[in-house]
Amino acid sequence: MSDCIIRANKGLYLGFKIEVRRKNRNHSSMQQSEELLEDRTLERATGPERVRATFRIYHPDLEPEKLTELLEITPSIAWRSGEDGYGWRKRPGFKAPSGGWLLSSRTVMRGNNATAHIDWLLDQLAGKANMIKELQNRGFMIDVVVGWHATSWNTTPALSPDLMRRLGKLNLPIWFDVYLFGSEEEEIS
Amino acid sequence: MNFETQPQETYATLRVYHAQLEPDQLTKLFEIKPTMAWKMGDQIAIADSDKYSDTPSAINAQTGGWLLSSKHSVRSTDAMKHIEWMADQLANHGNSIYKLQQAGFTVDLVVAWFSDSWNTCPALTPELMLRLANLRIPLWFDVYLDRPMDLSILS
Repeated sequence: MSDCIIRANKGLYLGFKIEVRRKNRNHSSMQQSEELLEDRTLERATGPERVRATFRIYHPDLEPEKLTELLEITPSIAWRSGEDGYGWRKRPGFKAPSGGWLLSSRTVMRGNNATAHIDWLLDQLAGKANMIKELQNRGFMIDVVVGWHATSWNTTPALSPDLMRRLGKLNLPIWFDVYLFGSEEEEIS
Repeated sequence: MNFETQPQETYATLRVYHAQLEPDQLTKLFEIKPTMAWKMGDQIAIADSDKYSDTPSAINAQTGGWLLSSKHSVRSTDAMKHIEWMADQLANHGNSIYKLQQAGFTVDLVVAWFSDSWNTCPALTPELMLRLANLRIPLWFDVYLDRPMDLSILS
């Protein structure tokens, strides 16, 4: 697979696929099949195996009910500062260092199209730009994180101009939390 | 393998492609010298690799290309600085980019991101996203995890 990706990487900057012919090998239907397989492997290799988008709000004095009322959205999960067994994992004995209010596509959206996950999230937040700005001005930390789990060592998160405009107008920073599949995951998103 | 979420190396590359691309015309349009450019049919040299000996040393370009990279202009592992540099170079060229896209040219921004950690976190601020959105440039991160290898043709 690494061989395939190297070709793609160079081809990536050239704007087309580099035709590679192995030495001492004749063109055959078997070779064509191998090339086709490599193409398919590449398609799988650069996309995520699992993806989700989460809108996150944090503040030490965060009161979940007030945010829910203000935004008129039911969060996926929320907690107060000091709450025991907070977050997705709900591990007993772990107290929340800050209040949190999360809205995630993880329980709503199927599929691994990150754009669709982010779009869904932004649809829920449509018309809330002023509220988000007001909360940010009051010191609330707000962002969008895209959990991105890859199976190969090359992966390619992308954003279209339209998506970047939507995020920008909502004054939302975004970051991709990219994990090499099989690695230990901190459930922050 | 380390546990840093920032990259060991990063840079941004504006890519423009079209079969009828004339490098000189684009250079004049953007008023900046590209890092690399070619016409369709040009011979493009590719660095030799001992490990991957089946890669040809040169190929005929199947499309025209014009690349502008921050690689040798910005010394930082902060991807945001590389993208900001690119946005600065392209400031006031939003209409030119739009016209190229309307004429069928592919225009995008690739952020190469090399990390030897199993977890890495490419990020964008709202301000930077609005700048790129106004320039109508799609962005994607070309993330390499665990085994950082710069294999691009941008030497």
